[in-house]
Amino acid sequence: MGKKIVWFIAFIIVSIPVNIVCRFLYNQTWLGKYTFEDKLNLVDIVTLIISSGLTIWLGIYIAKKISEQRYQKEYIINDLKSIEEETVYIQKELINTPTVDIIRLLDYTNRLHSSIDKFKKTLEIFETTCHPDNDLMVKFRTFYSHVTNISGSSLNLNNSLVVQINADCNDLILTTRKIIKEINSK
Amino acid sequence: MENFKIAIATDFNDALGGRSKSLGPYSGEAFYEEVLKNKFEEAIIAGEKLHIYLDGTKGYGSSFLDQSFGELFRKHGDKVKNNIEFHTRLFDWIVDYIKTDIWARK
Repeated sequence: MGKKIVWFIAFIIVSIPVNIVCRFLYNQTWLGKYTFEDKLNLVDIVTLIISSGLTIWLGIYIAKKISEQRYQKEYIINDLKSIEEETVYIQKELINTPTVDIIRLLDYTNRLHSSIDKFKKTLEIFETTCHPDNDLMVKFRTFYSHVTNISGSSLNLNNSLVVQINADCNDLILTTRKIIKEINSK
Repeated sequence: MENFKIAIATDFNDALGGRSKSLGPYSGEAFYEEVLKNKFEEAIIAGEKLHIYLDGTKGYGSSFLDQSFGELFRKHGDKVKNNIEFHTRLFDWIVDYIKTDIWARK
């Protein structure tokens, strides 16, 4: 609501001087001073064709570039969203289960790593870089080293470990969001 | 020619356990004592590299890696870095983890 009021005030502030300038030009009858020739010459025709062609080409080129960029961004953001969804799923599963078998834990970490790897390879394909993509791997490794540090064949999720896993998962989720923000603002 | 090699999935097991052999099967400790230590020492005596194939398992826990490859590094030091060659298509990140998180921090 506040933003709308600011925009409205800005519109009024800009439109007043524009209005004054338009009135001034109208009073000077600038348009009346111009005369149009009714004959066409070759230079005008060529100029018209070239400038029209260039305008059309530029329009097509810009539209194509914009749609390509949007398409690439969507792919990258979808990969990041799947990392976040995977992390949220693992976080819920681990927090709600008192004991988790090692094979299940390895399956979780493999799946999460596979999603991160897919994201990194997508960046390579699109020749895009984003600053904190290494952060994602660092956060994943921290999570991996905590969640698979098991003495026996299953992980007993006591209170301190649940807090640790929660913090690691939240770090991963927030890192994906930071990257989404950066990709979106490019 | 690879005279000394370990394919973990076939020479040990495809479903690996945790850290200690007293607390569960196919642990890092068991892998170190039963397979890795001996093969590595044989390769060193022969002056050759030990080739380790990681693919075929369901994954590697950090405790398994620390109790096997970490323990080998704690016993033999930098010799381990120079005389072990990993082969994998699926677990590149595990190799990276061993080299940068386990071997580098000791």
